[in-house]
Amino acid sequence: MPSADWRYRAGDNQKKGHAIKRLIFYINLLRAYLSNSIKSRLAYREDFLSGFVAGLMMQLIGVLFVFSLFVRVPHLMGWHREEIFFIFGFSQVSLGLFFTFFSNLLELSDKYIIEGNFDRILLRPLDSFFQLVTERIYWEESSTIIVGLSMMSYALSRLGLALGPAEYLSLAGLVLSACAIYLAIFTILVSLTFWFNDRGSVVSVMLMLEGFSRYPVTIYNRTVRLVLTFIIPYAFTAFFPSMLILGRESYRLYVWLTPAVAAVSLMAALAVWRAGTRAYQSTGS
Amino acid sequence: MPIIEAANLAKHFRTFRRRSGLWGSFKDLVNRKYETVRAVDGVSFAIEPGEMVGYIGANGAGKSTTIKMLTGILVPTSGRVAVRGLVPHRQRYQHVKQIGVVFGQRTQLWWDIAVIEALRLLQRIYEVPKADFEARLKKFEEVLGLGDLLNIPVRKLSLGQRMRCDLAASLLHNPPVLFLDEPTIGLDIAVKASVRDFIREINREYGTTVILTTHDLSDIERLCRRVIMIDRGRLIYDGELKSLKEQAVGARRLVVDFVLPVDRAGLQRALEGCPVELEGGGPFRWEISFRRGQANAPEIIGLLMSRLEVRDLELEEPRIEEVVREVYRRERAG
Ligand SMILES: Nc1ncnc2c1ncn2[C@@H]1O[C@H](COP(=O)(O)OP(=O)(O)O)[C@@H](O)[C@H]1O
Ligand SMILES: [Mg+2]
Repeated sequence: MPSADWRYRAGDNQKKGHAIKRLIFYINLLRAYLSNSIKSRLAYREDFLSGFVAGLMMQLIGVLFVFSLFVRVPHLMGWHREEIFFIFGFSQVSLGLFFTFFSNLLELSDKYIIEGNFDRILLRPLDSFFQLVTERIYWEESSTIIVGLSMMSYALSRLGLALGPAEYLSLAGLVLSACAIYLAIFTILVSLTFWFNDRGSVVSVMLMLEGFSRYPVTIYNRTVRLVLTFIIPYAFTAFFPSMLILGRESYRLYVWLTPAVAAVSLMAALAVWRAGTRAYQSTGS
Repeated sequence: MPIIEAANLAKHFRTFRRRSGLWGSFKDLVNRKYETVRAVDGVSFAIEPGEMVGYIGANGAGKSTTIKMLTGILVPTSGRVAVRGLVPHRQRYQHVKQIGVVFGQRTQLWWDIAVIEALRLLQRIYEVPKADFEARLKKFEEVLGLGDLLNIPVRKLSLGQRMRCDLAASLLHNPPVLFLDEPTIGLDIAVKASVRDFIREINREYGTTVILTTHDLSDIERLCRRVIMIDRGRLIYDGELKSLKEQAVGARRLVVDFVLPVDRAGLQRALEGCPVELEGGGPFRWEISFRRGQANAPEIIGLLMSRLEVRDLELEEPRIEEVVREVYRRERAG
């Protein structure tokens, strides 16, 4: 016998929610997702720990390599080695944030498109991008953030720079912008798999190219510099925003271009994503 | 007014054959040979509120592709589709709020979290009021026997357990329309029965409109009065199950195991006068097909038992492929 509870039918109330109400809805949902993600990670503490430690080791090896390069070379093409460490650390923090919170994007091709799991995403009354990203958080990748932060603070102390609260805040904003640029670049790349059944080869090339962003772009030739600034804006994920602290007057403009580049590229990326989801063909099974 | 409408609905996939080896994939890169698969090729139907319709066809007939268009996963190549007046792929959010979907092959739930957590997340996503959520959960616990499963991570569930949880999840927001794609595939008899009972009860109690695809005719027999049948993307039957069965499902099959080897000629002699077809090459096991109206099972079994030594026999339900063949045969006959 239908109780009163059942009289309400989903879809009856079809009025569009207020934008702010919708935002609060997503934030609450995000909280629930995060708490579930932490719970399920805690259920596999060992996996998390081994992943974290392995990541940390990899990072430390990379850092040791950079340090060893500069043991005898305090300067490189006009840059202090501590300045280079700072840029390197900055790139690790923003990349680490991207890997921790957005790595699931990189699974789009294999886990979602080829296996057809994207069906499930399209069946829920939620933004598809939000769902894909939140479906798995890679907490173990936070080792990259930690190593990056350590490098930045080491560099700051060696450079004898003390930052005020305003500078810390700006720095945080720039780090988030840099992370958003990584997010935009990889969103565009993975979206291509909606049209072309590519098993991640473009993405891995792009991950390799990411190495360029760890050093001052001035050490590269003109063409590479232009590409890194205007085409694949990796220069904005570490080098330009670092100039806020390393303060070279000629780069002032680029520092503040960073959030703008982030916003524009993210909007472009979401547009490509939307178009991609419409081209989704599912799989025959 | 129909609750679900499809008019000349079509979905064509452009695929290319992958060549093997490194050289092959290089050639694929340069020059792909595309082919068009007409998975659904101009299908029209209308379904009234509260109906429970079986959408049947052999493997690869285009059932899942149709469901994917009705649920908004796929954008049709051409034709129109509407569910409660909404175009699924255009008004995706509003549309998916009003439907429940279960795919037999693939779970809709999150892999890593416990069933109850997944249901709670869905409660948030569909904004189901707490009291309703509790009431429905209680009901699902009773009818589907979810009680013990709630705290198990989805990934650890067996197929049958997973299917029950998926059904519960798809109905948590009490959708007016429910799509089930092969909901009983791979389930054992007991679970199949409880899934069917549950679907029937939901339909009866809440007037939920159900479209159910299957290639297992017994699902349809237990649940649906109306069937729509497709073959190679085209609709070949839309009407009462009863008349389909009476008129079209003439072919039956008897599988017999003999104690001693029997050859074709011997078997034909034993069944002298019965219009049957013999398949499956003996000598101990033969498949005997016959058409209802021309011969009947008791007569054949009687003849066999009296003339040969039978170890075992089984009368098989007609398979969907045979029904499809029958429908064609009937069409040709006029
Ligand atoms: N995403 C796809 N890409 C290419 N071909 C597909 C796709 N989905 C289905 N097909 C093909 O379309 C036909 C119908 O498939 P489907 O709708 O899954 O059939 P059914 O569910 O009736 O078994 C099959 O030949 C299948 O191989
Ligand atoms: Mg199918």
